[in-house]
Amino acid sequence: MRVALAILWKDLVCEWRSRDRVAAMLLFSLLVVVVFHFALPMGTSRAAVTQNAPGLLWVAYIFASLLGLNRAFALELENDAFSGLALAPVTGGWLFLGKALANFTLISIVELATAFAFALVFDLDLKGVALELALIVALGTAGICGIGTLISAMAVRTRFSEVLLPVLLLPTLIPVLVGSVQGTAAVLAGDGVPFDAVQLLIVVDATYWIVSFLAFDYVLDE
Amino acid sequence: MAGFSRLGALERRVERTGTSLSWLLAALLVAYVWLVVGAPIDSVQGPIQKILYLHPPLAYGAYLGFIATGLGGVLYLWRGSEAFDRMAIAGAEVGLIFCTLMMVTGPIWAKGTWGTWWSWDPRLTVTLLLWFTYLAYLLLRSFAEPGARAARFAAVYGIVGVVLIPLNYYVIEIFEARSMHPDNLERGSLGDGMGMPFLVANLTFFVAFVYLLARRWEVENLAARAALRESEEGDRK
Amino acid sequence: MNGYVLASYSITALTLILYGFYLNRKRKSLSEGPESNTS
Repeated sequence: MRVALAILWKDLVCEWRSRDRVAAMLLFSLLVVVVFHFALPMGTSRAAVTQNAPGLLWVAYIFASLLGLNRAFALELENDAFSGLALAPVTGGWLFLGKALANFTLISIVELATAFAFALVFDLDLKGVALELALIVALGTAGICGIGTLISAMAVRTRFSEVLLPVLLLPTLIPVLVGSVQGTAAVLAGDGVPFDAVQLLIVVDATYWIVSFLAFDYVLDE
Repeated sequence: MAGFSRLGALERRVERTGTSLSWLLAALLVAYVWLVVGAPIDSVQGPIQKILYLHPPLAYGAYLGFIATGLGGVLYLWRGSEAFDRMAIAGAEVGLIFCTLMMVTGPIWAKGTWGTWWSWDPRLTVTLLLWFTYLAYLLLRSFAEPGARAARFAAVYGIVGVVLIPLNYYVIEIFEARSMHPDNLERGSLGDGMGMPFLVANLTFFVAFVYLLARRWEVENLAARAALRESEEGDRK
Repeated sequence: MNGYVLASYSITALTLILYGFYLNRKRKSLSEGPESNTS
């Protein structure tokens, strides 16, 4: 467990020192939100926008996460640290935990800023539902990070990793996406926290974190 | 060379399975054709309903294929024998073929009954996702460094993919199913005289899948042997 | 005979049968030894 925290701390400190990953993700997300504004035809009614907002928000989140996850193991790759991690006398699962939590933290920061931008651009009032929305986003992000960390660790050591990561990750994100979008839609519509979406996300998240925890050793072997 | 004696036993079993199944398959194919041609025509959908003896049976190959892939991966990680990794490869290739055929016959059936090529019918949707998972798996195999790493990564992704199948079903059933076509209920119903052809159809495609899987696995085993022989000859020179 | 049914059955049959033949051919060429390895 200490190992997990050590990895988490290391990643966050590294990121704090350079802040390049978060900055890039942030800029990218904001651009995506602006692009979405232009992507919707001029005459789109306010009702149509509000209806599609949850989906657009999560597409933006997923794009940003892909960017972030792509770079998640870049440092380890550049410094050939994978062998070091593999030789460490710890179960790979704890390394996964630290990495996944670090990813979760960084992506969440970007998502928070993106949510503000989104509310601004699409003229949505998120203040009333902030807490419920935060819950859904946290659950969705947990799903993305849970499986994303595992897949990123594999993809980063292949050819064309930038293309392979989305191709491998997106099919696995469908359950997360469905739950998150449904949940977000319900929350934004003022229906409170939707039980079925939350339940789905919890099941998916638990499955992904457990599988990744158990399988991480095989991804690290050198 | 040490692993080969144990390998040989499994290899031989794979080969024998293929050979013995070929006779069973031939017999089943005859029965299948006879029963399908003779099957009653559905009163509601008309002749096109006969795709029932094609599309759902293909599902056996599509899903079993991925289970074979996942199982092969797990056994490979557990036992370390490359023969299991080859089973995973065979499962992925044969499974992809069955899945693609499902993706072709499904829309054809949909066009003929509902008038649209595509619908987000739960079964079609999950099949689509499975299809993408297959392709992603094969892409991973080809982009990863060949050898043990590709096998290991593929095994892990195979496990993820197998887990994804029930997850997707769960998700689609809960959420997407709300917008299901009402016609969908009719597609699954079996009228009188359709039970036997349907049963034989499922059996035939199941055996066909296992047969093709065994053959594909055998081809992979033989290729591995040939490669080993070549490298040994190279060493001796 | 319905066009859709014909299309579905022929595509499926063709694909699977051709694949089966392809596999058997590969089987034979590989088990005959390295000299006749055409891959």
